[in-house]
Amino acid sequence: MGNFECTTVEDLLFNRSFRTWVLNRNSPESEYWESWIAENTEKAELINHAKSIVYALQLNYKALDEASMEEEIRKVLQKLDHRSHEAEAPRLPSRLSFAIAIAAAALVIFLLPHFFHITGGGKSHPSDGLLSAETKSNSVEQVNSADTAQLIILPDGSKVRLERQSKLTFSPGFSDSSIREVYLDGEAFFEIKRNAAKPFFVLTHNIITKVLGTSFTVRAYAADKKALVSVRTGKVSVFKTGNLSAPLSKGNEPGGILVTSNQELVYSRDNDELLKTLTEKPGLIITPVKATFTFNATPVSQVFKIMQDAYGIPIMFDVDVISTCSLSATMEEGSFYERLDIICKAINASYEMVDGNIIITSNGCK
Amino acid sequence: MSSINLLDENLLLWNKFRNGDADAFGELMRIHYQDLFLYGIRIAKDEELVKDCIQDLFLSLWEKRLTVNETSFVKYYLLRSLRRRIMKAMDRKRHSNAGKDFRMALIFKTEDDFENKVFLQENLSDLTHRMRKVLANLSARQQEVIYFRFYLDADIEEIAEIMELSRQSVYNLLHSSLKKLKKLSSKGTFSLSHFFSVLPLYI
Repeated sequence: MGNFECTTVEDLLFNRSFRTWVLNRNSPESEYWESWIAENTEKAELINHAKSIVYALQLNYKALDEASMEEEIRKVLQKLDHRSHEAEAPRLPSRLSFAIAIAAAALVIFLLPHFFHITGGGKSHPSDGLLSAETKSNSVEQVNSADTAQLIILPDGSKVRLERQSKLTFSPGFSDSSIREVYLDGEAFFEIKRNAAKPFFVLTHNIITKVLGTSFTVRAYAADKKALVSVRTGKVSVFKTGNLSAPLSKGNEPGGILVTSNQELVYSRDNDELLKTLTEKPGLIITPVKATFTFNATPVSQVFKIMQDAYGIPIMFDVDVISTCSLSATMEEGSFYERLDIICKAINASYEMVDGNIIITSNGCK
Repeated sequence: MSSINLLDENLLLWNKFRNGDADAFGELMRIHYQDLFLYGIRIAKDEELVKDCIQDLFLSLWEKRLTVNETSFVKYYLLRSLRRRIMKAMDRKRHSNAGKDFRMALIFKTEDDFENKVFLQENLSDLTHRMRKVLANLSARQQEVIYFRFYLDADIEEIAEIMELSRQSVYNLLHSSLKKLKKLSSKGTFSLSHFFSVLPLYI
């Protein structure tokens, strides 16, 4: 360092030690620079030019404070948790598992009335169970008043990440009864062990979520005007608590709304309505064969199909109208909406989100 | 020596992260967060948008951890990716609030923010003030190049990588902006004698 040579302003400007010293005269380098300047009086003008540029380039923003940064990092790690849990489970190829999921769902819908018909009337009558979860004297109550989320393993092996200021109530005899049910006040992420014979219910003040085996978040604080069910993978159906008998009634699930991957259901207490939408940041459904988003004169109908499979979000379009459109683009990076934007721009189309589905409007391509 | 060790340590961390070690990933985020945030906030001026973009960036990095390369240039890789995300996010925002101006520009400290006493003592204020005007008139890209060069110690090749430009273009951008700054300071209004005549008054 003692023989620092400088012939231009840049030599000084791009010397980090010099810049540090200019802005902070108490830096450890100050002795060095002071003596260097004393020895190089002929370069005083050069030095001053460099100094004023450094001053001029001082920046106006401060770094994020430590606590906020940690909070941001925690958010990322928390989302990671959800993802890696899903990744642990062995996965079938997407289309196959999708087909199986549909088959399983259909089977349960079909079997459910029979099942309850057989067991109905006895002690384990499902509606008794549904009502009792919050009132049963021997139920287990987990309250998370800590600042971080808490992991709870239910008796059947299902996992629950209970967010702060939230309460989960369930019966200790959980795994023996005919159905699995928990009562939630607050927010939790659920990863439910698949068991088609014993559907899983999440009861909250205003809505009931029925599950077969999937991962999803329920946010329903008793004090809030809105409640939300957000599905990461799989399918659930959601009912208003007012229709308590609906989830269990015979026939084809009246009043229930099916919510699938990357869809979200919002209940608003003001108008007592359930509204289906898409999650804010739809994630890719994890599949062993990673979807590729590189297209080379690919028919757009095929592109939409790939998007639909990758995110599990239904995309509707007029096949005839867009039959003339094709796409050449590389978009390996980007979110669902970013990709959708690119595709729509390329074919001069627009999209809207209706009831958790994407509807494409296009006049076709020439 | 220490820089080699640092490189090894970063590489070790990177490889742990690629093997799915969430703690290592947390550490990796901690190392790069402020650089990303400070850069992001300068081009977007919207703290929430920047935080969201950084979050998305890290989540997608985690998802792609099995396919990302072993690299000792993590910082520049992250910066490039963040740059793209913010541009897209701003682009979308512009679409949704037509009329609002989202000119991409770096903002340097304004005159009022100065607390630096040394700065006043040396009476560099006038020159600095004029330099700031020159800086403000530089194109967004020129300002960005200067930012990377100064504050993130990126060299021409690395800047080219981040901004997805050719090395020649980066060189031209940097060269032309420095030329403007230097020209200003050699116009004679700030001279050696002036400096010495003023200095004793403040000591």
